Amino acid sequence: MKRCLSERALVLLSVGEGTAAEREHRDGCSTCAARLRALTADLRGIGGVLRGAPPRLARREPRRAPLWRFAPALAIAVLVGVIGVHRLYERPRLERVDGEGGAEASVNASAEEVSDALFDTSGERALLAMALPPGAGGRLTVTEAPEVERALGLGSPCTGERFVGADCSDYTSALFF
Amino acid sequence: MVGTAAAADSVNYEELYCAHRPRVLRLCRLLLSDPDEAHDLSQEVFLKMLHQLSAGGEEIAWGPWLNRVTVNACRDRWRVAWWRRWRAEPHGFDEAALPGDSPTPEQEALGAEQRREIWKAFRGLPARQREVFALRFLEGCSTEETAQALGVTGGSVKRHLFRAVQRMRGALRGDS
Repeated sequence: MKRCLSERALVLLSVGEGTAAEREHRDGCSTCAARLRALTADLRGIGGVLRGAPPRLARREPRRAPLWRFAPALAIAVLVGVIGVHRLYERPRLERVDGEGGAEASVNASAEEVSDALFDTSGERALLAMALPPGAGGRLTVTEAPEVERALGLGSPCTGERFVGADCSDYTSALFF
Repeated sequence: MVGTAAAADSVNYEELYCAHRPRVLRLCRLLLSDPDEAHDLSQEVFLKMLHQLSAGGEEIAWGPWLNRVTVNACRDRWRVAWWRRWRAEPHGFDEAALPGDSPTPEQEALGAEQRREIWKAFRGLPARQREVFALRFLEGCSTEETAQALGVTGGSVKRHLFRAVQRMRGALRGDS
């Protein structure tokens, strides 16, 4: 073996291993022998330190966790808070509507107004009252049928030319004439 | 019957304990950062040995068996305590704790700063390199025994030993 020994070979020789050729080279090469002596001295020093009692670790203040570690938890907390506040303010408003009489009653009243406007039959009832004989009590009998037919044949007081002079409260129909 | 078996084993246990305790404790100290923890762990290792003795069975070569059990126990302890190590920032040493109980001539020859660097470099080695360096170089186990204790090949032991030596020499020269 003519080339000088590698560091790896020197390390193995220092712990009693290595091939016969490497040992032979070590014995014949002053450079490698000096390198091996230096390595052995270093290892002896390191071993001497490490075979002694190890030093205790310094007890320092516990490390503070970086703030960014709390970011996900903070985001979740904010989200939960926003949702909670939103629900908190939404609920009393619904209760207040119920307390004033109820949304249902309000809707019913509006629907009744619309229904009155659309299906106002006061004109027809007036005509019918004029056509019916007095004392009939608002009830039709079979003998009165021709008079009723005649009254109905006149049509609605809110149609055509009769709209202007008639007592017409059918404003919805009036929109179409 | 159990008492009789325990009495029979106790002599054997005492002998084994006296013969191997210093080595096991030293190995625990090398592989763990905390001497107190090393003491606790060495007790655990000998407790396992007692259980093994009580169980009986085939003949065991106690030296390699203790090496293997100690290394595995240290590895488990090291793995479990990662959070505590991270919290404690174990990169500094108490100046008052240096040198050790009985400084060797090599320790006296080296300065305190250099000894601190050597320990720091040793504790900074990857786990496998630290185990190989401790068993093969410091404890004087053969390559085969080290490989058996760590469950690796002889070639792997040599490779890890070379890398560990390079890093430790770098620390000695102040390269790290």
